[in-house]
Amino acid sequence: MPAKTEKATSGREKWLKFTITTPPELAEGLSNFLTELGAQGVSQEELETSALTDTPEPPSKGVLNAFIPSNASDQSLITSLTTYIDSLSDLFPDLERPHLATEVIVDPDWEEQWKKYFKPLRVTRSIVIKPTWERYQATSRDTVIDIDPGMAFGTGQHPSTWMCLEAMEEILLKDRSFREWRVLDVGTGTGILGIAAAKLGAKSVMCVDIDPQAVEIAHQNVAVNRVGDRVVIVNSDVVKIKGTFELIVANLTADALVKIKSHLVKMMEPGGYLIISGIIEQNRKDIEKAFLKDKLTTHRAITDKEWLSYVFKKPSRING
Amino acid sequence: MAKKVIANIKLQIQAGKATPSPPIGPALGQHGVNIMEFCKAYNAMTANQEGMIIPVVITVYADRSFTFVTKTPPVSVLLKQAAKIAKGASDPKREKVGTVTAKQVRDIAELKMNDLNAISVEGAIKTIEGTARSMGIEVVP
Repeated sequence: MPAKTEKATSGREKWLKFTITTPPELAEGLSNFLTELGAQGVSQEELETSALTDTPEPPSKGVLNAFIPSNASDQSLITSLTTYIDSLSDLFPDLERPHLATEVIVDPDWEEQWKKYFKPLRVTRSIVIKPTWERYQATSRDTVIDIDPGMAFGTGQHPSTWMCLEAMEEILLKDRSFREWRVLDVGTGTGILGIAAAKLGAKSVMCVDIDPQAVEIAHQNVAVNRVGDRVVIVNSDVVKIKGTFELIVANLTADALVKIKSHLVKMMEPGGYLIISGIIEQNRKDIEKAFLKDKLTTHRAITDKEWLSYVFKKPSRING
Repeated sequence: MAKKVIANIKLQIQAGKATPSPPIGPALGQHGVNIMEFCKAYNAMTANQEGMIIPVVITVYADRSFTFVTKTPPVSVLLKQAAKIAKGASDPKREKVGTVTAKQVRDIAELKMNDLNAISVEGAIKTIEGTARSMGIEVVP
């Protein structure tokens, strides 16, 4: 049964960490036992020096790591695991006995640790994404977007994000269908796409996210980028949003996109564009089936590895 | 030129439910992998298998970029399904909690061939029989 979470005095969670060094034959049974004890998952790591990566997991002595929220029942969990390991070692006398180490650790802000590797990155011809804590010497042609992602999604490093930026750049800088662009960013995360729209010349931008934490982070990023006069952020489900937009961008998942499709199409201004992203190759058919029956035309499809983005255009009133 | 690999990380986690908490946070954070980007990608790819544990192997390169492949559900999970039990034994030496047939083991072996790094189905069967023993599940003819 999953143990109840206990907060440390600092407000950060405390975790009981199990580290087991084991012969590979016993790793699967141990992983299963750890999961049954209440671990949310098990990680197994092998440090590599070769560049061969497409081979299945190499069989060697593995180190398993699992974490369970630490509380009063720590000792009984450790006892159960030790009993299990004793039993394994009796059952498999020819194999080396798995070695167990445990410690209680305080969440060291794992989600912060990757930040030291987040560097300014040119994602399209003109757009450069820069972490707020880094320096970058911009040229006059650069559109620089400052991002502190916190716990939200959208650093521009992911294909689903940069493909949206690429499509937005093309539309907002080159397309003359509209004199003024009103943009809707659905599932804004860090606010990256909405902020980019404002910097690429949109008259007004609405960023929507269902997650209050993302909304807070998006607010901070909008302020850092000084586009607060053109960008509003709304904590809401997008189906509650009313109005029409010349450009809608939605970087979600295929499931979510199909679910809100009718509403997205309804909010498109005739002649306007819809950019959808966050789609993997295996969902291509579902997406095309859902979106292409609504008289939308495919203006552009962008792919990077297994990721797809589409730019759809709604017929203008005169034609449609 | 092939990019330099700095780590291969294997995770057994819930399909569609990846978050930065352990074990994902500590496993990826220490190698500089953007945890949220991984979670989004993994959840997108496994959304249709929610409720299952879907193992994933993540390859981290020296520039902190990463790729990953998802695998078929773990042998332990498939064995529990085949034996129709919720949990394995806590003392497998003394306790037998269920049985699977040799045919069921062969089916699992065929499904898991690639993931198990086995050269033959027979090799995979041996691995699976070992896991069954370690869980207190008996293989019957």
